[in-house]
Amino acid sequence: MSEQTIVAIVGCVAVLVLMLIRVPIAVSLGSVAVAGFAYLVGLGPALGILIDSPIRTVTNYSFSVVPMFILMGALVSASGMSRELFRAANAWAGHLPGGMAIATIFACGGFAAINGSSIASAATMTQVALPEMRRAGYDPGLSAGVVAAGGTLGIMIPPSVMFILYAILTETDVASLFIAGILPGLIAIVLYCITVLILYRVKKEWLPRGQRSDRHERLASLRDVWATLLLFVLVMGGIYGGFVTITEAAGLGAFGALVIGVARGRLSWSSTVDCLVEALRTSATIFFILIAAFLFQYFLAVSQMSKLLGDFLISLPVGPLGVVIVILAFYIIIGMFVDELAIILLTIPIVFPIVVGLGFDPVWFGVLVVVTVQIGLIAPPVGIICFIMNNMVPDIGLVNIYKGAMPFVIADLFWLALLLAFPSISLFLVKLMG
Amino acid sequence: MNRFIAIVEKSAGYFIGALALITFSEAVLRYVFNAHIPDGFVIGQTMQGIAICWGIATATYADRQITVDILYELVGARVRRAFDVAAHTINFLFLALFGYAITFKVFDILRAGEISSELRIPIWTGYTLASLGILAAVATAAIRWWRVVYERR
Repeated sequence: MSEQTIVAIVGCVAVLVLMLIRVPIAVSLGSVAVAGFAYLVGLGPALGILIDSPIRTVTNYSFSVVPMFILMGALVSASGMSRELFRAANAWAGHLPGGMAIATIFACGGFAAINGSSIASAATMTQVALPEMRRAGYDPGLSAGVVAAGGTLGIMIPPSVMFILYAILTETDVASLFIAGILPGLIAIVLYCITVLILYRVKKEWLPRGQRSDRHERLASLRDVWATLLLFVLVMGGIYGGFVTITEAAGLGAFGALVIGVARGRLSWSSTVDCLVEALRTSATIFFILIAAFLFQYFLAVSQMSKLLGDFLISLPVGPLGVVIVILAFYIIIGMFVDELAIILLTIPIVFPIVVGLGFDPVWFGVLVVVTVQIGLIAPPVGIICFIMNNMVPDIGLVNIYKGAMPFVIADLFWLALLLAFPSISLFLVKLMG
Repeated sequence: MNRFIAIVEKSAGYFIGALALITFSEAVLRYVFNAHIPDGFVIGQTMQGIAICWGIATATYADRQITVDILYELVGARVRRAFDVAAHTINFLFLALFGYAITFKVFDILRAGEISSELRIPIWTGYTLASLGILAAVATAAIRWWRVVYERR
């Protein structure tokens, strides 16, 4: 075994140990990266990367899409747009079997189109849809499961912060990733609705049918959705119409959300400042891990860890697609224990060259990775969305929330298999749009 | 201290807001008036850097960095304390090294005398503000380390 190989293995183990003793993930990655690089190349060059790389990361203007889209999400959450979406979806679908659950999923899908964070989507919908479902006599655990699953759509349907981070790390085109997420996102909505219908068949009393809204109510409910549509068209139309870059679209989205919120009297000065602070907090946490992930990439390069892992995976008797399945299975398992954001930032630099080296499409792989992240968000024992919901509505109980989310985790696994078997689902629109 | 941190967070939050405004204005000016904000790119990226560095400082103070808690939740109080001491020591040491590196970078830029191309703004000013954020992170990490090790909080 070469010295590089030993250092690579020791480095990986050290990162894991540091993370397990609760050293912040960014510091675990960063300290091992600097120490490993210093051992292999020298202390001077190691300090050199610490001097240059972090400041380059935090001042990289193209990375401003991260705080901008996070700010946009915070502003639309504070503006109450999710409530309007839910009201409209419920007016149109509430009378169906499991109608309010289906309406929640539609509303989550709509909200995901203007908000790139799953956690924000789920937290918002917990306040909006969950009380309504419980009032209508829905099973509390199942209602929570519906909201949790619907919330995960936030990172698949564009704009998605997770796609942006994947793009930053792999230098894949963000616009292609965004467009690739649309069809899989719509399929997820359909699969979640089918799951609700199946659950209705199994236990009708869990999801009582609502009353049909009259035509006047339905049309009235659509009146308030204009703001969501306008914002979506502004951002996505701007990008795909070729009018603005992704960075400009993010700025447009954030500023547009602010103007719409203020114009409708939904955002006060103090709530706007709260949104700015929220965007800052989330962005700073992400950027700190990004800084460390880029430092770690230097260590990966000198220790040739990707090559080492790649050689190992290729030596497995499973074929190229089998290698991708092994990687995704690893993501799902580790996603049950470790924060999904950290998994992406930690592992993508390692596995991406392997997957691309095997001839797979980076956009397709990006979609698959985001699906596995989605699964990890609601799968026990550490589905972060379930944890957050448990904090917000502790009377339901974490176990009941997990139980409620499980049917949707199964739907997600089926969805993942579908996307794995048919790459064209992810790539069709990308090719269509050129 | 908490009040100071809240003020810092709000100020850094305004930088994020300013970044959004600059990005939006750049897009509108370019497509509508075929114009641009002088040095908008440099100002934007500097504001982002300052906001993020100060955001790291406040996140460090509030212990809001992303951690893996699974083992920590399972162990007893004594092991947990050992984890806390080790984690906060490593955190402080890494940030101290980071603080040293970013200060070195600022002096490097100062020596080079880099200025922006249009408004001729000295680049070191923004970098200094950003580096102060990281130095504040070192200070807050030191406060947390002291509290964990000596005050057993």
